[in-house]
Amino acid sequence: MFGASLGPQGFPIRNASPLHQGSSPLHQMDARIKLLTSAVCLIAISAIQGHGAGLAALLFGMGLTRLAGVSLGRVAARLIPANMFFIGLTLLLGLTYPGPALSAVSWLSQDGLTLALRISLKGNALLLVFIALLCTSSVPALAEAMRRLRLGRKLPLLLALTFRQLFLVAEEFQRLHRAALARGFAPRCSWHTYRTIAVLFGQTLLRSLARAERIHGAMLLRGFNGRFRTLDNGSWTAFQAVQASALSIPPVLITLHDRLTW
Amino acid sequence: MHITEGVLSAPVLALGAATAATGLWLGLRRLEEDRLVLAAALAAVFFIGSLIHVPLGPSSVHLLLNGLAGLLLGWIAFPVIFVGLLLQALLFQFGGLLVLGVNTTAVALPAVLCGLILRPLLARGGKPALVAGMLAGSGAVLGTALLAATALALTDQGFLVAAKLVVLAHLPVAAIEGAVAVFVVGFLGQTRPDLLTCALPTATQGGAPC
Repeated sequence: MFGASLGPQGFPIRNASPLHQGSSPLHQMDARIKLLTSAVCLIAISAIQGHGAGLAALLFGMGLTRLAGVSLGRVAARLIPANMFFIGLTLLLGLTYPGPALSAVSWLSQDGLTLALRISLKGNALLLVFIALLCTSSVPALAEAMRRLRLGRKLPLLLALTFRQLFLVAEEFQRLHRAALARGFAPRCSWHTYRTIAVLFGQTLLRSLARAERIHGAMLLRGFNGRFRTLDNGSWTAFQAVQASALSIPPVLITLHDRLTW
Repeated sequence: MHITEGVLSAPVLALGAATAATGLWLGLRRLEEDRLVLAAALAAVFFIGSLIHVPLGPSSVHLLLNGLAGLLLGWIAFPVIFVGLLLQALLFQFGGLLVLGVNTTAVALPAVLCGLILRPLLARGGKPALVAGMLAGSGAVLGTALLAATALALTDQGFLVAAKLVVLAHLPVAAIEGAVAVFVVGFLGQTRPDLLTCALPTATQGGAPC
């Protein structure tokens, strides 16, 4: 459903092809266990200070995505925005960070480049773990896991209902945008363009609210009792808990070794 | 507006998470269960709105629309923006899980503050409402840039130049957001003026205001 682009507005919708469909051990793992495991892994990796440990965490993240059966090409495409940011940060810190200059290139800061390298290694490792553990569950399954982990009642429901309506709203905007283009609308840096985009957004808002009222009425008629049910209800088995514990050990050990030797 | 994973220090991440948790608690307290579907619709609308790229000179920028969310939703903008940022992390890997608290605070806190200050002006309709739209649209983006810059500067003094650049880069975005917010408020004022006083119109009687 996210395959279509929302017009020439640069929507990244195309990149949102789902990763939650699959049969890997991580796809079959209960979403609650994955949420808890990801919290442990992400906090551990974020505490890393050294480059060796950062590299080890990156390799761990790549191993985890391999275990999730996600191809490196798909993962690389998802890491492009973050790495564009890291490249910019490297240049900026290299040029502006205080400290001794690099011996080979005198106008680049050695400390700035060292910090940028550490951030890049950690950032990519964190994103890989995030993709492998959380993007292999559907959003409704994650919302249900949040509810079952007692992270509130309204927030998981809001997440599930937002995801439910996201595609409808996207289609609505696409339709209105196509109609505007058919009437000769050509986006430029002008007041007319900003007014047109604002009206398209306003119309999308009004239509989405009207549809939401109908959806709410239909849900109530079908006996909706405040719980958004999903077919992805996993069961928490002892074997999965052991698997999750085993997955949490490497990043914790990497971080402990890093902090003790830093 | 997303700060990527791996950049910020642990104390800054913890402070951002605590602030976001407080804002979420306050927002969810005001969000009645029978308004969840409408709030979700608005969360989806603002999610899609934040993906719209508008031309700016030879390039383009994407909208934030957080000021408009704060203006229409008040404290409820906090959970709405949190859900939008969480979905952006899950679907596009913009931001991440650890940095979600800081990103939510940076985007939602200025939005809610603008909403709380400017909603009386918005409720008057007409030109005052347009002024409220412009101030909220621009002010929330500037607030977001300032908070993101503060998070960077608190992490490491070496990020000061990057922090200044973040604020400078958001100045034209703030101007465009102000203009777009004026046009959206004007459009809503002509078509559904009731939304300017409460964007979640099916609140049960006696329930908390938006």
